[in-house]
Amino acid sequence: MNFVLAVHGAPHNSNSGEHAIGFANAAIAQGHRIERVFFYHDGVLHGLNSQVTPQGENDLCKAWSELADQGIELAVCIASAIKRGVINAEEQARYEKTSHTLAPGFELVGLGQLVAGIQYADRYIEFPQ
Amino acid sequence: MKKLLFVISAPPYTSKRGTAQLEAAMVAAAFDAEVSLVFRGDGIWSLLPDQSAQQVGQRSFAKVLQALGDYEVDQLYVCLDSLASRGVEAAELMQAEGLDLAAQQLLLAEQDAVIGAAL
Amino acid sequence: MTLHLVFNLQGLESCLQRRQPADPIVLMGDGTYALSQSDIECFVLREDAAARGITSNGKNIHGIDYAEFVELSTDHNPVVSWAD
Repeated sequence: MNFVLAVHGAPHNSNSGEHAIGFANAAIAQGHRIERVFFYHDGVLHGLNSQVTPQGENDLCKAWSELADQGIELAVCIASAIKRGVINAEEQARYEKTSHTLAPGFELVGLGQLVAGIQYADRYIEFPQ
Repeated sequence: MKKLLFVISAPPYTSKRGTAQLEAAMVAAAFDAEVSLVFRGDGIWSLLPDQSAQQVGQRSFAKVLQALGDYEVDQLYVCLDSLASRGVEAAELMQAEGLDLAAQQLLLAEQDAVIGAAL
Repeated sequence: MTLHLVFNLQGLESCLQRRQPADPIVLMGDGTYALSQSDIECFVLREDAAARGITSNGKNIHGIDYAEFVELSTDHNPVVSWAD
């Protein structure tokens, strides 16, 4: 079965990331496919590459990176992202910012990718907080 | 064609999640989904007429809502229970069809996906 | 049949008002606190409840792990999240 997961909550201020990662890993272990993880609203902060995970806390960055290595698309809503300072090299150049901040494995996409994913997938599951 | 329900349960102008929901609904309509929207909880405040969003330097929720019509999204619903608990009459709001809780049960059950029920 | 994911107490109330009576509910995150004050039949993500010190011996409460959560979601559609 194909899943699209949505992450709406920020790291360290919600359980969105933990829930989505737990679900994704369990689904993959059962032979299902995660078509896309869509980061929306404060969830886009999962894609910020300058995060330092405090010792003793869940390393979500590492968990996302491992999912990306398995070919899972980590799609960050571009409208939600750029206003929170999560930008790739292209947006850095466009807005003349001093650095780009999108972590490897993540990509900036439009809302169309959320809707297309929902249209295509067997299940859409939202992790709001 | 999939049936997608967008739920707006947050008031406008604080979180902007409602506006984001409207934008997603327009995209879904452009992708040929069968789109409906329901306003419930504090989301019902989005439907007050005479919003002057420019006073707080924001885009008007009401104007974005009107743009939905251009995408032929016409299934707009409001939770009657949420109105009653806030002392608001449906007639005071911009046009949306009132649904009781039983009707919302049926609306939810017939969807392929529900977006933002938690917002 | 719809699967309902509940993330806090207010979300549970909204969900209970709008679900079909036989639809299953999964309590997650702060939704697990509902176990201390409610006796509805539901599933609960075991690790979230344990993290919060929430235990329940109710016979209608079914603790699940992520693998069982995935199975519930393949058996139901749509999957609706509640966290007002």
